[in-house]
Amino acid sequence: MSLSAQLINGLALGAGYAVLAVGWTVLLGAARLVNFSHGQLYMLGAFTTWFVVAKLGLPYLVGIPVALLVCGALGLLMQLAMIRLTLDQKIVNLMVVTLAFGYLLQGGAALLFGGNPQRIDSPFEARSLALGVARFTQQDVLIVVAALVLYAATFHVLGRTGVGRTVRAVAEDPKLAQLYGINAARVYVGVFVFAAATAGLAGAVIAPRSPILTSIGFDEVIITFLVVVLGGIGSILGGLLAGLGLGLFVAVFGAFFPPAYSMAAAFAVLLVILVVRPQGLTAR
Amino acid sequence: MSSLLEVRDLRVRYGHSPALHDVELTVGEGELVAVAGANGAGKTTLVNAVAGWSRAAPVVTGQIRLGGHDLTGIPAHRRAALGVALVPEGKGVFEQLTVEDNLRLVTPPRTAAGRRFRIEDIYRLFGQLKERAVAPCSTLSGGERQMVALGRALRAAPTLLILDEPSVGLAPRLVLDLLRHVRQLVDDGLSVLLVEQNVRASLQVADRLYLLERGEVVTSGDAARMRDDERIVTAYLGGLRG
Repeated sequence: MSLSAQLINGLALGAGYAVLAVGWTVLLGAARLVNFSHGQLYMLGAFTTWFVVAKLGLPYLVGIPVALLVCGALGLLMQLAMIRLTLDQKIVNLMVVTLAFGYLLQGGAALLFGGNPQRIDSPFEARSLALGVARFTQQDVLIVVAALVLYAATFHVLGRTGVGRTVRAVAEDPKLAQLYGINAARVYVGVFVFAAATAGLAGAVIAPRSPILTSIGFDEVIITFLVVVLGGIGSILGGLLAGLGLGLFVAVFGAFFPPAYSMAAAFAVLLVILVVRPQGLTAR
Repeated sequence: MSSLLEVRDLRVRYGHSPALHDVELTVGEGELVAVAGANGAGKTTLVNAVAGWSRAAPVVTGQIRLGGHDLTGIPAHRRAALGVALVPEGKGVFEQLTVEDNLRLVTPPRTAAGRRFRIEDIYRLFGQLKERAVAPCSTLSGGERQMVALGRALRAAPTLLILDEPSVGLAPRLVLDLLRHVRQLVDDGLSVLLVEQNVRASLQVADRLYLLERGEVVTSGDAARMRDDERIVTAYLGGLRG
């Protein structure tokens, strides 16, 4: 594959990583929360889309918002169940509880959808486009557009609106926020739902590129972690740049070396960057 | 004068350590009531209990009523909606947010009964804040931060404003300015509960004063009368009349 083809592949891959990571960036930056079931929510987003298309016979474009809503609703239930731990910022307990939720989601999905690999029938995956010698699909374009729209919207909401102002205030000092009449618990729930819904969205737009299994999700959590830390915890622009950078790195690296080494190489780069810039690429 | 705030049998403890014992306190409508006392007397614990707010996790018993609402057990953000605005000691603003963002963060609740302050009203009250509107609060001086904190509290259209040690870290001239602003707000009808370590300054602006010692109210009464009370003058004003 030519370098230009690898770059386009890397761009789509990286945009996918960025979509996957945006929820965690806000979650960790704004609410000091983690969600280790993020990868399973991605898996569930993919399978919900598959179910809507393959079993209900509805168009793929209906599957995307359904996946977003289902994962957002699950995020709401999860956060309501652990709101006390969230308010007390019991991070270790939250890690274990969200890990448990992840396994429950994986088991539940296996029961519902079976253990066979499935393919999401997206009309965009079948349509090829060409740019010079490089070929890519409309699905790749959809992923890049989804990433850009999602990041632009998140950047705007957090930086320019009253909702964003409230989230930033709670991120800085949830106790003080109470004196401003802000219900910090409601903000935590909202941010968690946003993160879960965007994980579902990631599953719906990225997963048509390859077969899906209910056991996927673990790699996605690791990639999310990498993107969030690389971009600088809580940095929206950093998340986008780190996602794109990681995708391009993995694609170009894969052109010269066996793909099995690409994640190890990505983590080696992360180590170097964190030694030089402990705050990540863009955080001040 | 009818009571806006009524505190009855208030007891607060942190774990097994008692901090307040059977405190009774009232604040009338349009009245400035000061709570004074030495460090550790329980002043901050008292006002935090009224606002339902604390960075620790105290156990609070007793009754706190505001204009007919029973505040006991209600979380701080809902007390804010009911008209209680606390400006805490120390960090009272979001430092990473700009001055204007801090002020815009508060919108008066629909049920707010107090006077409504628009952002322009706050800038009119504290002129220098307008020039610093887009500056992050981390770059402000101590006095400017106090103004933002007070402005933020007023934006909530409170019926009861609680100020915890607003003079800490401020130059004497700024303290007088700030207290003058507060007195003006009271004269316009706001009720204020002011915590001050500086008994002399409290007596200058307050209508009534409560003196706390080791978590108990040891004396209370009309500020003008207390200014002339030999016992108070000797014990708290160093024997000198101000």
